[in-house]
Amino acid sequence: MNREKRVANYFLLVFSGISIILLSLPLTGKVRAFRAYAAYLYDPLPYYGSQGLLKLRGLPSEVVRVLTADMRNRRLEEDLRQTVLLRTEVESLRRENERLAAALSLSTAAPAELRWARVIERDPHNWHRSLIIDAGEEAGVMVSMPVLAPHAGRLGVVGQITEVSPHTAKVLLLTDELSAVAAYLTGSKWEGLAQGQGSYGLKLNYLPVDAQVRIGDEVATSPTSATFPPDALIGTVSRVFERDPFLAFQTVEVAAAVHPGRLKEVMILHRKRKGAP
Amino acid sequence: MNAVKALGIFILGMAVEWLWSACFPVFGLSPCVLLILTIAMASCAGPLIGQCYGFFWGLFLDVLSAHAFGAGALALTLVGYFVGILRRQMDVSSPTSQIMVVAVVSIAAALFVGLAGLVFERHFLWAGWGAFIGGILYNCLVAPAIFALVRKTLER
Repeated sequence: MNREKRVANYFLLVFSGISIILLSLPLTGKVRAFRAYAAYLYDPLPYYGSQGLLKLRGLPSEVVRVLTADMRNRRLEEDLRQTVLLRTEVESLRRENERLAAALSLSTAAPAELRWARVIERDPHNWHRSLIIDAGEEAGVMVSMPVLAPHAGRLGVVGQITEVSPHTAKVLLLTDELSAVAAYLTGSKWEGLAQGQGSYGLKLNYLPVDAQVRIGDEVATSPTSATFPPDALIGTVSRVFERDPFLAFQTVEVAAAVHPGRLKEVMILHRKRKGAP
Repeated sequence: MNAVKALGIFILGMAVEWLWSACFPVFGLSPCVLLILTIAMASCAGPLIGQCYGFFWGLFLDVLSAHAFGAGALALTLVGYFVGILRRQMDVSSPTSQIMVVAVVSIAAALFVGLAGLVFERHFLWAGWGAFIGGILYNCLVAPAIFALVRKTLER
């Protein structure tokens, strides 16, 4: 018998002996300790293997995400460059407007500031009525401030602040029954009152009986609105009701431009008092 | 064979076994890569190395399994020892002979683990005819590739 075979026989006895002890005495303390030790040594492979595998599986989507983000970033940088130009023009026009208004003794709207806030909570029972945002008193948010959101390159009306706590605020959505805003049809310039219905739709009341309204007409906030800036998009006419001969006005249904269910961030318009820094 | 290479083969074997069974099972079946590797190692490097790998790979299988802790280690130790001892008497150079050896050893190992369950846990460890036959066929299919890889690794 050569040396390798002798050593192999010896190892066979040792390994078989250990295996048989493990098999026959599974509940003894030493076997359980050995089992735990073996698991401690071997478990990292499946554990880290599965972790690595999960990361590898997510890799293609991560790469796509990074590429998409880069493309979006480039587009936004370009938009930002355009915005700088636009801002300069707007600033110049504003100053001109102030000069002309002062010459005609007309009052002008105070300049406004925008604050961004995230939507952190919705009322599941009142989806179209209110939501909570993560900016409150400490961020300068006050009751009655208008809340807007970008929609198709324009400002869309979301609602207004009704409750403020130090770090959060409640927004009463425009679609709530208690909401109402002075609005006008941007095409024909007829004014009315847009009122929430507790659902996705709004009603635009008090339009003159002879006003010609078509489905798809755009509805925006009126310059007469005390809370909202003029020309913020409210929605589009979705239904024109038959005229009621007993009423002195007509009503149309408006589909809200900003869907509350899709909102992730909103803008709070903070209008500075005249003379304030 | 140096220690780093030996450890590399050991870890790689377990990684392939786990990866195959976790990610690429066919009809819920995956080959017992560690069994084939033990046969290949024993046939190339002898009974000592074969059973050393067999014992520690068997422990890995036992850690993953919920039944008869030690049965996998004992089965692969015996496989490594006997294939190593009998390697002079068998021809494992051609794919056909490799498939034959893997088929016979797979059947023997499956029956041995089943019997170990019967003796130590009072029930025969049996996964069903489908898994038994499918597992053996799968082992036979991948055996030539694993044998070739082991040969190339050991020759370097």
